[in-house]
Amino acid sequence: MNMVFVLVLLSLVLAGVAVWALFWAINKNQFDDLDSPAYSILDDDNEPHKRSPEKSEDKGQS
Amino acid sequence: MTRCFHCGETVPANVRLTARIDGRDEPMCCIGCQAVAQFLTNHDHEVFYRYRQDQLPGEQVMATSDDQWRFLDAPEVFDSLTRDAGDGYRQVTIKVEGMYCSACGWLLQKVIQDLDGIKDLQINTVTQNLQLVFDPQIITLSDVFARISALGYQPRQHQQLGSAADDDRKSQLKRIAVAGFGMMFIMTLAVPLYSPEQFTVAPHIQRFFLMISLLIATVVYFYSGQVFVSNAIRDLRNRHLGMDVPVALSISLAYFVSLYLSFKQQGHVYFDSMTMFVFFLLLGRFVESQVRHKGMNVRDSLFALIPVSAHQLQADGSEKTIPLEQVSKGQQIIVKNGEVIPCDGRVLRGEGQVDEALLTGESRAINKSTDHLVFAGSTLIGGQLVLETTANNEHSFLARLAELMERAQSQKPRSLQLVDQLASYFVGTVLLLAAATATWYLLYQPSGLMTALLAVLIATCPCALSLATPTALTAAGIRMLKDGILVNNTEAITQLAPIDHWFFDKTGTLSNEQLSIARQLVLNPHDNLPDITTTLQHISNHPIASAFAEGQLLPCSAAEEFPGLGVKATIEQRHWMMGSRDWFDQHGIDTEQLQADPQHTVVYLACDGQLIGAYELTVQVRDGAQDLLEHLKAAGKSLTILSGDQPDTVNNWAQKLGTDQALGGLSATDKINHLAAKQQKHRCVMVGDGVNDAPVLSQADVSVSLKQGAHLAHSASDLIILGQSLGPLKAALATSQKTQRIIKQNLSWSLLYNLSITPVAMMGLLAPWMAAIGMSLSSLLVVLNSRRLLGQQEV
Repeated sequence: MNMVFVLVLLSLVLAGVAVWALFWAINKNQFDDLDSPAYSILDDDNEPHKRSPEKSEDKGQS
Repeated sequence: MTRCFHCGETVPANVRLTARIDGRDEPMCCIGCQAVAQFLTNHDHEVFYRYRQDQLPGEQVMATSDDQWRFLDAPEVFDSLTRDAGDGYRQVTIKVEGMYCSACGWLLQKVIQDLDGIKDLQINTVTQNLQLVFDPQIITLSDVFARISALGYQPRQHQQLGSAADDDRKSQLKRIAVAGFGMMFIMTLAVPLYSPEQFTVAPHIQRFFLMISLLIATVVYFYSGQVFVSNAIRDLRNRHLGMDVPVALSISLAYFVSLYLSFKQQGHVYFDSMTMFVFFLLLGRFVESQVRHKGMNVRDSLFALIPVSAHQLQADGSEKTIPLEQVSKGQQIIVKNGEVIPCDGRVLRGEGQVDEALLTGESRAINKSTDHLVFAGSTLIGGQLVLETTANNEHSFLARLAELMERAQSQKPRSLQLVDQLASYFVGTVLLLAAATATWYLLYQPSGLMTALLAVLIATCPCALSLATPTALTAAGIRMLKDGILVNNTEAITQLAPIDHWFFDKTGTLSNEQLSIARQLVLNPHDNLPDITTTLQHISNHPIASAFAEGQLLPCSAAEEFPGLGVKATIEQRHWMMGSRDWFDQHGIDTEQLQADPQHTVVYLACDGQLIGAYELTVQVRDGAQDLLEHLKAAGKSLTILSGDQPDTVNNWAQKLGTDQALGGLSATDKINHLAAKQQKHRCVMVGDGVNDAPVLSQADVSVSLKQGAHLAHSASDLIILGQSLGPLKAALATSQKTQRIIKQNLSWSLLYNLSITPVAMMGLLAPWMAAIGMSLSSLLVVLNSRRLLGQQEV
């Protein structure tokens, strides 16, 4: 029967982790814009560096 | 009518954009769409730039110089706008006006990300914010701004990072999260607690479960539930019975009684009911608050218009750039040609023309010279002024205006006020009933007291009633946004459909702003006339120039514009001139030989002093206008055109569009008087273009404006059409009707529920958890019913 204590406390810790994760996500503005990130999958190039013209031509063929 | 290949919008008459897709030139409605199409068909940005000089359909690309943003690089300004992001990087938030769809966001993402020195870029198309982490060693802030404005968007500096509304929303979400997890946890533990006979073998487990529930309930009560308690206390101080009073009473009662009982080890605890109640109520509140924040943030968009720095004139005559916060009353400020005036002031020296369209709706520039007052937010078009500031920044005319408008926006719509009042009576009744129930049980059946009391307090809480209207309005607002209409005042949603009298402005509303060539009269045929006219008109930024965008630009020299008269240039060694009849008469060129129709605007063209031809220009009916007017007419509405234009022209238009009445030659005051006269007996809708119609718009019961021009004028109108077509209004009308129906359904359902559940709860037949479920389900039903407004709806 003592297992119940352990499991309940464990689940309490898990719930705490879940709440913490949610708080983190809220603070990181994850819930601010729910529309446009859906389109980010269409964005095939997330490199912050400048592409050379040849490279972009290559990309054009793909 | 041509449709844009990319987005399906109608291509405006003067836009000749195409994109090569699968070997065919497809029409494009705007540069944004075109650029996206180009990217999709695997080109780079070059093509996009070639078309950049063309006018954008939505808003014209303002003449920008790269120097325009130089002030951003001044160290004080730079520091106030950006913040440190580690490793020498700086972070900045830029508000980008004109970014409405994901395609725009995508384009900006592409172009800005390709600049050197950009580390990270976040674009939020909903809030129109662009968050940028960059290396100031490689790229300057002004370069980024210049690039954004080159794409046709208007970047605005965003001073505060994170607004109050944003924080509010975040803490609401957190409270919901805590209440939600707490609720789930306590529910799990509550299942065994409901059958206490199982614990006869192991009473210590029951005790353990109770303590865990107590722990979680304490967190939920003090973290999530505290808003209700503090709101209730505030309400009571203001002697107002708000919805929060019974809520706070019931959760406090449930919590403290359960606390007492769980230590006393007897009786039933109500932690589960309490957390569930808190969770569902918070959820409902969240939905409701989203409605109110939906409106535009007036203060932000107004203040984004003022520059963040000013040129202060030092005592020794030198100039110093200082951040706006440091500007105070009595300082001397220099404003140069083309700059936005940063603060209210009196002109000390110099003169110039000031555009106050933003503040007054007056689109003509006003001459200002010594001792005249100028206001923050207006633009200096010509000349240079030295001002003595007359107010601190936070007391400027613009700030007062923003305050007034914020107050107007924060006022609840009348329909909601009514419901609030009703709910307040309801709350009073609930409290009386609860007291009566408590007394009765105390006297006759003390064991059932808590159950019945909590059930009455929870089950009869008029939550569904208070959700009925706001949820429907939110849903309708979102629906309208999808259709291309921004709702500024939610009350207008339900009012739109029943109003029978519609008034339209003509210029810029029923008609397009762009001119098109109605007839060409060519006397002496000449090669490539379209190219020549385009080149000539490119010199000018007069609205007439929009009619001549067909041809290619040719190299020209000695280009000169004579404002109000015409343009002159030398192309291929020949002297061309193009302009008004008066101007040609002055130059001794006989225009009589061409029989041009004086009804139209006529532009003459001459080469080396020889008349070549003339162009009759006409304005076109705005896309969707004809359709909308027919639809309204079929619905039995009375339609009137109010215009400042010539009565003849207005009558022509009335015949063409089939309106009932048309009044021309009206000043803004005449329009207001006419509208006011009609309002004695009827309610009126006014559709205007928002710039010079701002006063008339505010007079109307429901006002609709087009997304163009002054930002302030938009705030005066209830509904804002985002696109170029009047078509969305037709959809809005249907949404309005449906919203009314849904609000009626919601209200009758919630009243029915509350009236029928009260006696049951008073009889003690309802356990508190049942009451909580009943309350939540009734609210849920209301929310789901409102959600129907979002669904697909054929007009």
